Amino acid sequence: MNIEQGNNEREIADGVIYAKKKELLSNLKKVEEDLSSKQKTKVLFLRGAAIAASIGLLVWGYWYLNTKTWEEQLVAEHLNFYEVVSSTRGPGGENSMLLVEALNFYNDGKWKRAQTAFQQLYEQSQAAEYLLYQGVCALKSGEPLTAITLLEEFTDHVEEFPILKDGAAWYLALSYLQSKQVEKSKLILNAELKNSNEFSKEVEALLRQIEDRTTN
Amino acid sequence: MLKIYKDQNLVDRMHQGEDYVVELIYKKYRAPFLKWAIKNHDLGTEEAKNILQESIITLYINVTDKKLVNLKSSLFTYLCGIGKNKIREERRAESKNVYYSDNWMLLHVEDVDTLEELQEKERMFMQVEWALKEVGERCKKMIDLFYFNKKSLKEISGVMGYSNENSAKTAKLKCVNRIKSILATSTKM
Repeated sequence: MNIEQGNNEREIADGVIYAKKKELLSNLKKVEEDLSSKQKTKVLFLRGAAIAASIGLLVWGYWYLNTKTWEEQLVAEHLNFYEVVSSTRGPGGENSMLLVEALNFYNDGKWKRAQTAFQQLYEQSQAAEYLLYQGVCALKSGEPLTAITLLEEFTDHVEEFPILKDGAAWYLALSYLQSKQVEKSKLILNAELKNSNEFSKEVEALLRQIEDRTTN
Repeated sequence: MLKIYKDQNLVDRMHQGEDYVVELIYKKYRAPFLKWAIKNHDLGTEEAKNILQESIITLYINVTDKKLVNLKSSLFTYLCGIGKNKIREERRAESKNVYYSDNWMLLHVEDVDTLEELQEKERMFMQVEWALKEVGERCKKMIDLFYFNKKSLKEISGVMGYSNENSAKTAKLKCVNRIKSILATSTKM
C-alpha cells in the first residue's frame, strides 16, 4: 500500500463515519418530527376536547338555568299578582331615609339590597311589617327557605297587621311552593279560599294549576 | 442498580452495532434531557433538541471507539456530560463568530486549519456518501461495520454470514475498490 493508497483509505474511513453520522442524525430528526407531530395532534385533540367540553358546559348551564321546575314556573307566574310592599306604609320609629332607600331598591328589583335595608329598618324599629317585607324580598331573590322563616315569624305578629294577613299568607304559600313543599302550600291556599279573601280568584287559579300538575 | 443494568444493556447493544438503539435512547431521554438543557443551560427548545441529537451520536461513536464500555453512572448522566461539552463548544464557536458548515458537527474540524480545507474535506466526504449509496446495501453494511462500528473481519464474518475471516476480508476489499473506483470516476468528472 503506497502513501496515496493509505490516504485514500483514510479518507474513505472518515467519509464513511461522516455519512453514517449524517444518516443517524437524519433518522433522529425524523423521530423528532414524528414525536412533535404526535404531540401537536395530542394538543390539538385536547384543545378540541376542551372546547367541546366548554361548549357542552355552556349549553348545559344555559339549559339548567333556563329550565324551571313546574313549581318555580307557577310561582313566577303568580309572584307579581299582589304587591304587599307599599311606599305609603311606614310603621314609625325608623330612619325615614333608610326606608326611602329600601323602597327604591325594592322598586328597582334589587331584592338583596332591599332585604338588607328592611332588615336594618326592623332592627331599628322592631316593626314586624319589615319581617314581611324581608320575606317577600327573599322569595323574589330566589331564597324560599329564608322567606318561609321570615314570613312565619311575621305570622306570629299578624294580628297587629290584619290588612297584611292575606298578603302574608299568599307569599308564604308561594314560598312553600317554590321550595317544593306542595302540600303545605295547598294547605295555606285552601285556608285562604275558605276565608274568601280579596284575591280568591287568584288563589283558586293557583290551586287548580297545582292540582293539574300533581294529578297528571 | 436495575436502571444502570438497563442502561448498560443499551450500551452493549450499541456495541453490537444495533443502530436502532440510538432511536430508543432518543425517545427514552428526550424529555428529561430537554428539561435539563433548557433549565440549566438556558437553551431554546430547538437548540436543545439539536444538542441532544448530536450528543447521542457522540455517545454512539464513543461506544464504537470503545471509549465507553462499562457505564459508571447512568446513561442519562453520561449523556448530559456530552451535552454540556457540546453546548460549550457551540458557545465558543458563536463567541468567535466562526462559520464552519451546516454539518460541522459531523466533520473532524480539529484536523483542518482553514475554511477552504474544511470545505474540501466536506466535499470529499459527500462524494464518499454518494459512493456508499451506489455500492449496494450489503457492501455498505460491510463498510459501516468495519469503519464505523470498528468490527474486526472475524466479527464481520460472523455477523454477515461469511464462511471465514478471509472471505470477509476479500469481500471488504472488493467493496473498498468499488468505492475507490466510483470516487475516481467522480473526480475525473
